[in-house]
Amino acid sequence: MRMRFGLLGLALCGFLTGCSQLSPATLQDLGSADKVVLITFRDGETLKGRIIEDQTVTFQTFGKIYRGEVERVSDAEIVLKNAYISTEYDRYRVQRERMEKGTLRITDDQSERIVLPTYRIAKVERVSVDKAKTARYGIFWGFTASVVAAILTARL
Amino acid sequence: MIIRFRTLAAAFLLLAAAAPAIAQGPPTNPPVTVPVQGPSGLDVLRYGYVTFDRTIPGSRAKSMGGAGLALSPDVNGASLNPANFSLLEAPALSADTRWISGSSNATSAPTGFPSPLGTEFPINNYSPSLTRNYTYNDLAFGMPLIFLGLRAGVGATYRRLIDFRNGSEERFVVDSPFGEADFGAGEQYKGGVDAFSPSFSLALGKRISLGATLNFMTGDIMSEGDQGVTSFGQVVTSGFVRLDQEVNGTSVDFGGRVDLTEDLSFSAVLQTGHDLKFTSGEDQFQGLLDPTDPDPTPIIFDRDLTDHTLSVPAMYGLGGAWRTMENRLTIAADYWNRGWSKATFTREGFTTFTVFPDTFNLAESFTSIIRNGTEVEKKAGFKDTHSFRIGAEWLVKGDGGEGVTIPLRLGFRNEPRSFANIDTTEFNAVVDQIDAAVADDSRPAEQRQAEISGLMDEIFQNGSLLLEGDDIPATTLTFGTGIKVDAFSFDLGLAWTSYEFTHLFLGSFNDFTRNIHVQTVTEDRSFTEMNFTATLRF
Repeated sequence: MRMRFGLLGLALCGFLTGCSQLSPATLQDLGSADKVVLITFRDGETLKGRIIEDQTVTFQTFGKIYRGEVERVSDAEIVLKNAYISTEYDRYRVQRERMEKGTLRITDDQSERIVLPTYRIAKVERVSVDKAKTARYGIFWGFTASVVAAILTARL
Repeated sequence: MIIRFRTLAAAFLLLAAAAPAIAQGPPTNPPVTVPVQGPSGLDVLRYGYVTFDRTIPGSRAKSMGGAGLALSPDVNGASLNPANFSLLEAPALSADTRWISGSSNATSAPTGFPSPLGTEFPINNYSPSLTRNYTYNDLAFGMPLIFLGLRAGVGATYRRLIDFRNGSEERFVVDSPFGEADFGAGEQYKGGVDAFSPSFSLALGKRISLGATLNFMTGDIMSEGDQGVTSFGQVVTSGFVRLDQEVNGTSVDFGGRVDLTEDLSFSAVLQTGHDLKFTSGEDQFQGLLDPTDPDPTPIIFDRDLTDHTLSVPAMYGLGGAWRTMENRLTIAADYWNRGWSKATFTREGFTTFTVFPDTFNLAESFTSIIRNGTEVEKKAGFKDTHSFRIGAEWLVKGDGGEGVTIPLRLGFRNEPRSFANIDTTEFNAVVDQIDAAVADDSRPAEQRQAEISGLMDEIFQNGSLLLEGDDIPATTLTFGTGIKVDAFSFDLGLAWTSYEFTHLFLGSFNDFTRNIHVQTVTEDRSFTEMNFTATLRF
């Protein structure tokens, strides 16, 4: 029984403790099906995902996180389609309202498209799994889970 | 109650000559359970050979000989000295496990079974062995905080405070006049006293820290044992023992730490005296079945142990640590004063009644107890475990303090066991008086019965103290290593402990409350203990 708890804990930890790391990338990495990238724009907004057509990506701006699909990638712009707000929070309400009143329009009630000009890109980074860190987390949480399971087995 | 020994003797008499014919299968008759009242577990040495000292939390202190009171704070060390919680640099979670393996070599063993029938069968090839155990040791969380403008820390740990896990087996060959038989007996103890321990610590300035821990202790002591006689690979007869008892208590620890300089620290810990309550004890025993009976009825004595309260004396530890060579080298030493010899236990008083079924044979008797509602305090029969611990740690790391750090640790301690050697001189002197009274036909039976009853009362009232011998010195060598990389630490500690001690021949199967001379075995024992600790700093 104790061993079963331990293995279950270890398996759960494998799923739950994935650690990512960022490494430098270039605009040429956009369009790759293999590479998940994190694009940081000048004002701090980010776009994360595989930047190729029809791939689902996450766009985070002030106070809102959008999920959408890539419609088109060109030298001038990245266009997202079917964008919807997956999370909204009011911490950046003032900034968001100011941005929405500015020249950059993200979406409105009628539009589900987001146009992101490439000239606003400040940084492109590859997102990859930090295998060593994931292993360390996995060992730690797996071991800790087995200790907790042993305590519960002994005391319950 | 000497039926068991008679049965054993009969088993040997009937061995070899007709072994296939008398080999027993599982009994088909339902067992008959005989409920009886028993003394407390401490009266009858029912807790095996386990030290009541607290375990050492964490691989770091463990691999430095146990010297951990004044080390630079880590969350496991803070469990040892609550003052260290306020000095943690970040919240930390740590898990710790322990694996024990041992070996044993008999240097002295009985040469034969003394039989109540007056015969003795030689025994040879006495071979003891120890079993392996693995369990959790410590789950600790601690975090620094600011309290009333002062640096402070809180912590919560769940620890195996006193570990009862141990087990041994004894095997030997009995040379009866009719051939050889293999005898085997083994008992495995499980459980222990666990403590949930919240802690609070406060730093008074840069150099002084104080802390306190409250220990809520609960636990179980359990054992399962079997004995059997085989001949030509067939079980001739067998029996068992079982024990199950609950333990609980509460205690407070206080800790203090002074950092005289950045490199030199001193600590002190006081573990206040407290009570451990042993309740709901049940002890079962089934003697060897009669091998002459093709389908015997097992008789199980179900002994209801008298509750008792163990008074644990106050104990204190003093420690120092010196860091040098840019904190690469740490040398630490602790002294622990643990006056277990002052420990007493309190239980309900009882009166003994000895019954003689056959007035023409006073060798056969049955003694029972009846509790009388009084309270009796007795010496627990433990030995002091004052000890000196010393250890060193060398950190292999880069100059910048970042990256991977590999610690190398070693240590030593000289720490006696809390249980005593068995000395049968006093006990067997009482048994000799019983034998003399049995054999003295010149006196009236009533007079001899009264004398035997009085001697049996002496055995029941003071049984364990009649067997108390001298203390058992033990030495422990330790070493360990690990790896620290960013927020993680993984540490391994190894401790090798050796000691020689004398215990009752056949242990729990040799119930000394029976009218029989008890015998002893002397063994060289060594234990290898391995701790593995994983720590994450958030």
